[in-house]
Amino acid sequence: MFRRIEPEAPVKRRGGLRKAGRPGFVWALPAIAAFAVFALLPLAFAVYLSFTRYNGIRLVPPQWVGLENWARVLTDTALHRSVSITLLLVVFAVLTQIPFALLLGVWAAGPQRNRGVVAAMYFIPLLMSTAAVAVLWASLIDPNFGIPALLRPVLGPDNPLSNILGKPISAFVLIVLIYLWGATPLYMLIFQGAARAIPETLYQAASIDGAGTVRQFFAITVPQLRNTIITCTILIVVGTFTTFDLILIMTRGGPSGATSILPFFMYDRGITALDFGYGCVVAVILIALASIVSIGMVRVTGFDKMQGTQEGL
Amino acid sequence: MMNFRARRSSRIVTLGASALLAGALLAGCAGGTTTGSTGEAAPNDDRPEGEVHVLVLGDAAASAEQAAADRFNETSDVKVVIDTGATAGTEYTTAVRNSIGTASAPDIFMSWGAANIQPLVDAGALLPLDDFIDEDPALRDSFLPSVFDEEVIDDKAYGIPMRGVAPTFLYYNKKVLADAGLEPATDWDELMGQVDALTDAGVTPIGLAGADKWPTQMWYQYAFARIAGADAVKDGLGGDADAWESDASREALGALEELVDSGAFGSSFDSVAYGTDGSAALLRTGKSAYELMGTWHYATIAGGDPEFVENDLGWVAFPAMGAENASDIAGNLSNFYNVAADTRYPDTVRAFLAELYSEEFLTDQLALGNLPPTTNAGDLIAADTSLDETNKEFLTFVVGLVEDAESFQLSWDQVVSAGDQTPLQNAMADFFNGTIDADGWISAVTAATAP
Repeated sequence: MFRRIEPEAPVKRRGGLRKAGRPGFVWALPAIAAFAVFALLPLAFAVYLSFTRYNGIRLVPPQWVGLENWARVLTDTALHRSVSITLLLVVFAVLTQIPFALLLGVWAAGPQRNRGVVAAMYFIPLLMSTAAVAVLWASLIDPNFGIPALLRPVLGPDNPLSNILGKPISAFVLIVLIYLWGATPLYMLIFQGAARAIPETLYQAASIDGAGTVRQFFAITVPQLRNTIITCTILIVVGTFTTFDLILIMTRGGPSGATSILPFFMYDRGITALDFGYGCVVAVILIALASIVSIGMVRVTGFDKMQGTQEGL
Repeated sequence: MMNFRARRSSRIVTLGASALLAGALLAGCAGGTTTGSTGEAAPNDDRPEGEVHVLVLGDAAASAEQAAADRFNETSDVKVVIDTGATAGTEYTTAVRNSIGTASAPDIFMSWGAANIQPLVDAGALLPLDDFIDEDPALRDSFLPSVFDEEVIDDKAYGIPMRGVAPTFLYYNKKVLADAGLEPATDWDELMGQVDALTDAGVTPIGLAGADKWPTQMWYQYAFARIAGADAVKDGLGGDADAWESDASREALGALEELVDSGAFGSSFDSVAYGTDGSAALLRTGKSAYELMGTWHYATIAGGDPEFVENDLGWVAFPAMGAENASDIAGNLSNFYNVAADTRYPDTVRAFLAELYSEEFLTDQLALGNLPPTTNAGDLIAADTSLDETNKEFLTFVVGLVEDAESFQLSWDQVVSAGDQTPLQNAMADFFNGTIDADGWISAVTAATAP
């Protein structure tokens, strides 16, 4: 017996590609819930606490004091200094890390094997915990038992290296240098990947036109890496704004407040001094400052328009 | 297919949902902090049944407290559980504060003096121990009154001393002094006179862990104790600005400035930390001659080099500055055990606190190099056969120092509230490194000690 094969009825396709490409908001709910619970909620609570007096004892709930904590912002010179130092550190972090990481990344993007080996070795600082980095650097620069002690016969007893953590400028410079050393590998890796994605044909065409390596770097590589540079800058800015561990372990904000950046200042006023109201004021200022700078950068650079660098190729 | 309008409305729903969620949780959090009352707390039956929890500072000395709990548990139905907390005092204090008022708060925890517990007393979180003392007078009488009275607030006793008495004094390296042909300095001029000889010998005359600031503060405590006197310091720390403005205060600052300018501390003291074996290593390796530090320094140095302690470590009282107040000392009185007001088993707690004056507990303290804050400490040291000669000699010296003292000044940063500690310590460091002058120091310290 033969069964007659019916022509397949057209199945009504559910969803389909169009819908798969644009899932409903339910898909995003876990992420939104996590963001709400771990970011928005603490943020809202911090804003609330900034209008209260609270010393951390539950038996005495936070007392609403209105703008009392916020009024202190105007007269607290230690906070003003902390804001300036934070901004200064951000500027120095960008100005040192971007050029350094760009050059290293482009260099490491080359096909030579030795470059890969050096890049891999240079990646090591990124794998170390900041606590270990802080302790290691502290012993390296120890005036009595570290490198300065070895150099004393050459440089004399009162040389610039003999009291690095004891002098405001040298302590600040040291922090900048440690970040340069420790954070650059990440950005180097990003630049390396981005540089490898630049079409070879651009360089070939430039060579035919007689452009040298330096000219090619500035006329092709840098413009092609524009979006990567902006991404790295934003990462550095946000990362530097939230720097805390190195400062806590190495300098505790000293000497004389020279490295007391906002996250440390917040810890000192909030947790150490058990003044959670004012600590939250500092936290809110920190969040506002970091948001303004990040959004401003995105706007100014046109990064939000997501323009490509390879139109017409 | 979802049209544009539907997509937009779903976005609004999303935003609304997350806002609601955040709001609900926020209300939950805020609600959590408002439970409890400031009135007299009754025993809290939500606390663990059959257990009394003791939160101990997680350092080496906690072993004596664990041993005391083990002894106590042999005969008690309600068991004492030792929970090990943070090693740093700041984190420890924060942990106590965050848990107090909940059923998971420790029944017994430690503190550093009156300023440290004042906010808890104000919140009604601590049990006054006077009823305990009425039943067991040894809870008060076993201890040195000068130490015990630190945590008596408004005539109510809140703390039982439980760790070593820790005055500060000068440690020195015997070999370094001998090589330079010097004797340990007993008065200020003598100390000043030794600076050049020691510097010429290539040694930092006085090691100082300036990066930590509290070691710097120890120098002010003695200069002010000697020149201005204990009463003036007490007035100043109590909020009397005139005490800091006085001629005696300026004279003390002048003496310190002269010492710093003479190069006594070298030029890199602000790069040296205490915690990372900085200043202790200087003394041990003969790179510095003196160091002003507390009793715990003995155990720190012995940890690095026991042989050095036996052969070359010396100690001497802080030099006299003129004829006045030469026997006064400064440092940390002790730590104290406090009891949560809502403890479920007050009788067990009282019985356990009696362990703190038991001979076994005190002997354990001695073995750790701690001088117990009890009246019988001297006799215990003399009778203890397990102590080595050097340790015995050291503890006997500390007992003598404490017994002879007219007054025992508590470390300044322990007297002020938590919020004033950092500004106070910063003033100490900034004057030493020249960032501020005497006027700047006086106004900074006046602000930090203002009532």
